[in-house]
Amino acid sequence: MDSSAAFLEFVRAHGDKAYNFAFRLAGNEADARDLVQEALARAYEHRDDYDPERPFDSWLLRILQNIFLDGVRRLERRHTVSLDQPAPGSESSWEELLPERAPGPEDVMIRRETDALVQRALNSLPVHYRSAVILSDMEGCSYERIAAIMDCPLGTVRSRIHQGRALMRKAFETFDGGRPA
Amino acid sequence: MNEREASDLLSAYLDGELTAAERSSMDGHLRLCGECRAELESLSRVKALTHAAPRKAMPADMVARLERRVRGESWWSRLMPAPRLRWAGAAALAGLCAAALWHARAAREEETLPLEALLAAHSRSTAENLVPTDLVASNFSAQLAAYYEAD
Repeated sequence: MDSSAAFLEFVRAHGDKAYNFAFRLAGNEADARDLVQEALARAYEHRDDYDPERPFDSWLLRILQNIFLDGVRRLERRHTVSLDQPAPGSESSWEELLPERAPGPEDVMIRRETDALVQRALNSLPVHYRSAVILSDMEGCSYERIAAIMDCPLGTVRSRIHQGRALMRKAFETFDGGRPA
Repeated sequence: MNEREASDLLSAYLDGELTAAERSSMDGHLRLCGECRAELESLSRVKALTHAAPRKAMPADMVARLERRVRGESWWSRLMPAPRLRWAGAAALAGLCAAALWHARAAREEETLPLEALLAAHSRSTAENLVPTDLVASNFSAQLAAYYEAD
């Protein structure tokens, strides 16, 4: 298998993970597309630097996160969210959106509500906490892998995930009408 | 382990990311501390809700565009999307190239002077003295004339 075919195999296997990470980081489809395309282009350009002993997805997500951080000021301007005011028109407590408490016939609506609420909460987090929470709670990455992607020590990963969850809870409460957790 | 230390480690405890010693110490603390048990439960709900958000899949057009880019098939594949069309297009292109080559070769042959006929004409002209040498300006002709006169 030549290098371009191998590269496409990796993209097919890990493209969705990269796209989900990009979408949750950036908060919208247009920026997610740009991020993923740029990350894949850079990964392909530097494919000879990739160490096959290490996970390809971690390498790709690290490139993607660095691109995002480079452009974070531009992106953050579009997604400034205030935690001071609760979201109007919210129908249910954020805790009622948890899957085990959601009744079957309302699944689609609840998934939509969950999607919007989680994205809004993520958008309100400082970028390093946001990355840590996405990688941990959405992608299910181990702390060791998160440390490799974010290029920081394990202790920092622990702290960012813990602080990130506390901020997510505050955001859920705020956007959900101020109900306490 | 005091309250502050335990609180800072709750997320790592929830994720199973503590060392054996830390976990043992945390287990002991949680048996005694209702506040930390409540905080652990709250963090667990936050994690569960974040995890419940639907995953976003990479749009199909992005994958297709990337494949074209990596394989360098862009213009030809876009012009001829169906494999049968691609073969027909390739055959037509090959035919055009062959016709162009044949035409170029024929044109080159027309421009080529027939060397043997020219040499024969030159020999005849010289032998029969068809062109008076005093009318020919080139030095080469003068040399030829001198050569024949010497004979």
